[in-house]
Amino acid sequence: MRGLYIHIPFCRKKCAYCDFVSFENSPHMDSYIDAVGKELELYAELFGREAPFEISSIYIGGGTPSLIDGIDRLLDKAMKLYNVRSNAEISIECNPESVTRKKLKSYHLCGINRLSIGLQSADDRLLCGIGRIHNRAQFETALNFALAAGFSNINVDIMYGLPGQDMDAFLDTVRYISALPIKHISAYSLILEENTPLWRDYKAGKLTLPDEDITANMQDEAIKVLNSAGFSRYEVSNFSKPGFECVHNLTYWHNLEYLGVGVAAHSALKKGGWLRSCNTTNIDDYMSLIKKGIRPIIEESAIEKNEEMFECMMLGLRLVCGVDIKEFTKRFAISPMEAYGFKLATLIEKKLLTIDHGHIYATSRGFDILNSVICELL
Amino acid sequence: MSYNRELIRNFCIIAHIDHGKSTLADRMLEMTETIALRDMESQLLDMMDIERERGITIKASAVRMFYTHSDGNRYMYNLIDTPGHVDFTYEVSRALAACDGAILIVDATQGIEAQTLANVYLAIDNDLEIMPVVNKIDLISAQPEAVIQEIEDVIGLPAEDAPRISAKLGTNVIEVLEKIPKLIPPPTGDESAPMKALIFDSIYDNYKGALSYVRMFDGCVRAGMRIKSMASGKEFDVTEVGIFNPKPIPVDELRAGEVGYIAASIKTVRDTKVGDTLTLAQNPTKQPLPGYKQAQPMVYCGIYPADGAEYNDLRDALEKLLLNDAALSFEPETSQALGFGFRCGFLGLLHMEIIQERLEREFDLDLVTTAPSVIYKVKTTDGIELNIDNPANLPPSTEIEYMQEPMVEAHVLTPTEYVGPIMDLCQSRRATFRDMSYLDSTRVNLTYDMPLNEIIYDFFDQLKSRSRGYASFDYELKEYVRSNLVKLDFLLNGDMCDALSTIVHADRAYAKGRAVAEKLQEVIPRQQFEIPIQAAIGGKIIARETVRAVRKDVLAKCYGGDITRKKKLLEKQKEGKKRMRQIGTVQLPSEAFMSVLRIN
Repeated sequence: MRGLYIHIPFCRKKCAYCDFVSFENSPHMDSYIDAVGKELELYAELFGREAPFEISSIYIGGGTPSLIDGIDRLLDKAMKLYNVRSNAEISIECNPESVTRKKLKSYHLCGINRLSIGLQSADDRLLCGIGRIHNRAQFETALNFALAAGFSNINVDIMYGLPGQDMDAFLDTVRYISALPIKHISAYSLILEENTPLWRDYKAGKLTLPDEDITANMQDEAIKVLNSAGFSRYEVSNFSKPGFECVHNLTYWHNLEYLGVGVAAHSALKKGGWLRSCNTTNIDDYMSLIKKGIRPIIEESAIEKNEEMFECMMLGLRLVCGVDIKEFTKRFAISPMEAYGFKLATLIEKKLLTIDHGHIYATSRGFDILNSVICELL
Repeated sequence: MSYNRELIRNFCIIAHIDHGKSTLADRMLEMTETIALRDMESQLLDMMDIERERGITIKASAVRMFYTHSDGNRYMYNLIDTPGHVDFTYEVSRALAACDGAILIVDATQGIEAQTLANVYLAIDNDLEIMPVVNKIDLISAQPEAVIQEIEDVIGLPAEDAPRISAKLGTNVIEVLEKIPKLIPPPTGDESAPMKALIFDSIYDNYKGALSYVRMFDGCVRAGMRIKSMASGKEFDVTEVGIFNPKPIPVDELRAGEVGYIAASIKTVRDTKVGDTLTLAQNPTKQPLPGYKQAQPMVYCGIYPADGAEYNDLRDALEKLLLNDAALSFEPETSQALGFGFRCGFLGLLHMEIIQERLEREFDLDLVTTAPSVIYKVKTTDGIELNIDNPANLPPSTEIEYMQEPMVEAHVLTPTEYVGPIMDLCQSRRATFRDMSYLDSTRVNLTYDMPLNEIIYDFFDQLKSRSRGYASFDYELKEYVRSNLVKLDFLLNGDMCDALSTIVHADRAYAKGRAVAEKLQEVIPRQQFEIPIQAAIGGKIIARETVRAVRKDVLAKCYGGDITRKKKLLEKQKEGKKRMRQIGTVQLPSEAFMSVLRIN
């Protein structure tokens, strides 16, 4: 299994909490798709000399991929250059205000079979507070267009812990989306990242956030509501109807290979050893490097075996089903119990982890404090 | 310049903190052209950064100036600077012993303060002529005439002719320079008698070794002479003698009445202790100068590196400070909670804070300090007497016959309107009222006997806050008295944390135990499990608080394929944990140890 990630770094307006690489009013918007196409070619050349592989998922994320044209062209190119499985999951992120009936139709036609819509909240007042430029009505329209265009595998993103959000407002959003004809829900907590507008407002004392307890309650309540609506939690922040777990995200959680193209995209590739790399975050640099036929990698590191093991634990434990002991042992020729003997035993004794059915996974308490559990393995 | 003892004047400036001692010294240096204006660093006599920042002088220095008087004579003025804080009373007294007179500065806006009086009494004890000066007349709130009245009434000094100056602006400073020879006598002493010199300060110089700052009483000293310390009997060969102007300048000799330094390849300031008398090895003087005593630490605390790996750096830093500070003491100790560190002894609280600050600033160390402790005397049931400076070393109560704690006589000078709150404060600190006298109609001198261990936490801060900063405070050690003391321990999740233990009076133990437990509850971050905090006396629990378990600690954010960032966040979290102290199963932040001291 291998994933392909394509980053589209443009937004009409950046959200107040966002620290991902994305640009407003960039002069490169028109030529960007072709540059990414060129990058795909550069990697195809590189892999061409190695064993063939199959791609089981493509994820077009951003930014706001739905903002620009030419996605179909790019996807076409990817299909030609790479061995994409016929049943591959092909997702695109879109924001409610930037999709049209026509655009969604063209997505569906070119092979995209999964949509991820950023709703964040069904409360227009809260949306405004975090700098989103859509409202609930626009979301509803977008969703109807998507369904009409033939999409059935749809994800909706929501957030909790927003400024001014109380439990009622949050549960209203959760109940609303759990009744929609969609297959997947991601529920993220707001994290104030340094130097975002929201962080600055917070530092200046201009905004109040729900406290730790309320935020924790929101997560707990959301799990209950979503469960009873048939969405089961399979990862810390992800819920789906049975069989609709996101293939692309599972690639990350299983710590498998993926290629990321576009500005600031990350890759994890096995080439001799386990390599992680990141593309430049500067779009001017990206464009000119691609023009020169150079892969625009700004940072690359070879991951040591024990670090790769730690990654497998760190990522795998985010899944409800946890780390597959057999898979781990196959990959590293050592079992997690041998690799993490005492540390693991302590966590199990503390009832934060469990071993069962060939998996190591977090207990419900362990899942709540997963960071500190994983830290113990560091 | 030929030597004429009649034209020498040795004096110091005494004042309460911030009354302008260093500023006046600066002006005098400028006006005598000892130092050019452009070379003038503000308040040059204070050599260390911390001194300059805190506006106080820690180590005394001595400067030689020449002043051409209107009477036609050219006088040699030796200004001996003295530390201004109660912790350094002994150093002050030795510096005063090197002088024949003292310029007493009183702030025209503040009047007489606790340390003004303490220093005046020390000066009088040393038979110094006192020359009052009223400073800060440039300020709007200055009341020079009222202050002069106060000096006459409270101290009993004629002050009608006292110069009214502004040291800051230089106003009337010339009057001070003119008055010195009239009021302060020349030094006495016999140049032909065997050398007799008083050490009033010492510093460590990387090249010359420990320098002794001396006042020559009899005889003279030159390079090449063999001298000895009358306190230790140790002998040294003089390699250099010199004066300060204000940088050290070598001279051929120092003669009776003069002030300067002696270098004799002395390896540590411990061998040139303040108050000691230096004389000739072959032909010693008969009697040492009176008043020498060993500086005794009064307050102890544990100092530990925040990162255990810095233990050796901490030891090196303490050894370096020791070279320059004969009053500091330290020895290794271990704590279950804090690992390897040192138990350090200080003259007082300020001395302790200065050392901590220097360790952190000059040596870039991250420290964890434990609650300060005084020395308790313990008589065990076996009849043995123990000196306990660390609560962890206190024997179990069943083995204690009785305990004694040090008492001080404390003087608080305050405007009358704060007498009520200050009396409340003193009473809450187990103080026994002794006396109250009015300095004038608006100001009172309160005298209390109080236990030193009630002062070493936050008494001074409390005093300042209850008097809006107007009250001043001074104390001296009196005696040890029997006292009903208990050891107060703290348990985190059932494990005792030795570094939090303190010795307190039984009557205060409950309140203190509750207050500290509450404070710990605030400063200990939520962790994987609920943490019970218990305060205990003996085996008995007297207070309990709970730190609730953390609800959620998980990255519920989409970082896409940026696994590196996820890893970095966890590494940072792990790093933060490493900086915490592990007490059993509980992670304790370094601040916890200090914050428990600041309990109201």
